[in-house]
Amino acid sequence: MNEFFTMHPGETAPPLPPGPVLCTGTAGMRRIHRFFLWAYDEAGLGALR
Amino acid sequence: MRSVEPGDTARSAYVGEVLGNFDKVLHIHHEGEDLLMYPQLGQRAPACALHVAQMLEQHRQVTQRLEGIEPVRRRWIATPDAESAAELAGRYEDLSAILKVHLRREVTEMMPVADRVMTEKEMNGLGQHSIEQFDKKFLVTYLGMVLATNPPADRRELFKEIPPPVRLGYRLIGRRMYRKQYSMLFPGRPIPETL
Repeated sequence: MNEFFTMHPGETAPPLPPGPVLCTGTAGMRRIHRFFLWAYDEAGLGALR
Repeated sequence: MRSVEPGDTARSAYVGEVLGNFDKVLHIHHEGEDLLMYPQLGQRAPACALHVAQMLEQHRQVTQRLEGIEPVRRRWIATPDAESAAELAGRYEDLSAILKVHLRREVTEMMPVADRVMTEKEMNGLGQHSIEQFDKKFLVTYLGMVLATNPPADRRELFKEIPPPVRLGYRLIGRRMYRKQYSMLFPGRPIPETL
């Protein structure tokens, strides 16, 4: 399965602040976002095909 | 929507309520970020101010789409004909296109910054903001959907992070409710694996 959460050409991330990683927000956000992506894919025109 | 025959208001009420729940969860998720994540990122990582502004603008666009969807969803629930179904599906398609960009870029561009300027406690508070808005039965049913839309390793990690009473509630009734809801929403489709 291709990873959905990757940067596309032309997109730039802001500079990372110095210091250690303090939390695991990225992993948690990715999990809840997968639900929304599925839900609205189903709700969209795909639901009528 | 495909499974709702024109005039079948019992089914349009069921499907329409689930769609409304998706919209509510999305709105509260963004509300939590607006209150508990983006102000903190703006203050603690000033170099990402432009990115923060871009994300907040995308939130505004999502809110605008949700506000436009609400009366159409209600109209379709009351009168589920082909015309209102097509309009509702088109509006959700438009929202889905925005979300495919926003949800991806929030993870790739903003969350690495959040991981460095927010504590685990603060990040948990963001999740708690959403959890507090819903009753437990609702939460454990939708937890099944969240688990099912993630790969197995993420499902296990997510489940470990859930408070023990919610895990118990999911095992006792949530998993069954999820399976029932999925089979009612998508008749004939195999139910995706969950925990």
